[in-house]
Amino acid sequence: MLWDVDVWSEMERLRREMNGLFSDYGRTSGSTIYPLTNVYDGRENIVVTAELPGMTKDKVSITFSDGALTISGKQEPLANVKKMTVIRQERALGDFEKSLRIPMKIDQGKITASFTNGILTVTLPKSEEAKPKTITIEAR
Amino acid sequence: MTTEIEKREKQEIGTTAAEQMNYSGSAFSPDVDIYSSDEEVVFAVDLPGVNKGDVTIEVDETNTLIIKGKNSHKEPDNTMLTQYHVGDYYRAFQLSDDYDKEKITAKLENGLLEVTVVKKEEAKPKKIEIKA
Repeated sequence: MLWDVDVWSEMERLRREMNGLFSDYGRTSGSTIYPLTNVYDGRENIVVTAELPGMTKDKVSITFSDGALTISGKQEPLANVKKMTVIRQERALGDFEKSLRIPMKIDQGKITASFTNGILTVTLPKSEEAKPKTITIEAR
Repeated sequence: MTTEIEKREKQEIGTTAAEQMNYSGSAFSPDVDIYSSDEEVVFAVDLPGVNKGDVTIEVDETNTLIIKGKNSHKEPDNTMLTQYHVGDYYRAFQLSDDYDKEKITAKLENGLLEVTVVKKEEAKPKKIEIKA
């Protein structure tokens, strides 16, 4: 038999394994600790984006050590509603800290971050040895 | 000691609402906090990725407050981990007759929308002075 394995369940298993690569420290994969984060693998950089609506750049702290990127800060409620009655509370408020393991060598000195419309973008340049190499075939 | 906030996934909205927005991709129901006082009601709406000019707020004839946000945020290709998806936002709330739909103010800062709706003058509580 050519297809001995169930292709779809095999793909699902692979997908989970991929997600697991970036799983938060000390947590099982698939957990969604605040903030929600996406990771992209470019040729030169790993790009991490996080949804942090209402935050400003001075309230977010970003550190990189031992191959892990940590985003932390505090989501505070609106300042002008302190004396009002809470009718509905869905937004995530309070202290947060999230670590992502980056499974590639990173040039730590060149990490940059920006903040636009409540979305944090951290760009982590790959170190030379982690960048993809193109090998040319010599004609003989 | 920091406490971790769990974040549930973004709620994708039904096709009817998505059609209303003439949008073919994904649309999401944003997280909202609502605060109320004797004078006004304040909505805090998470709209990450939305530019200032891309929010519409309207009150229709049935006194429904409708908040729409067009998300023009672009993410890179080659995804490795996806915890959130990018799409437009839609959320609607029924207002009581006590609120003045002509007096709605809103501001959007860093992807957080704040909408304030004030009560009509006759709906505000009155303080009655007791005469000696």
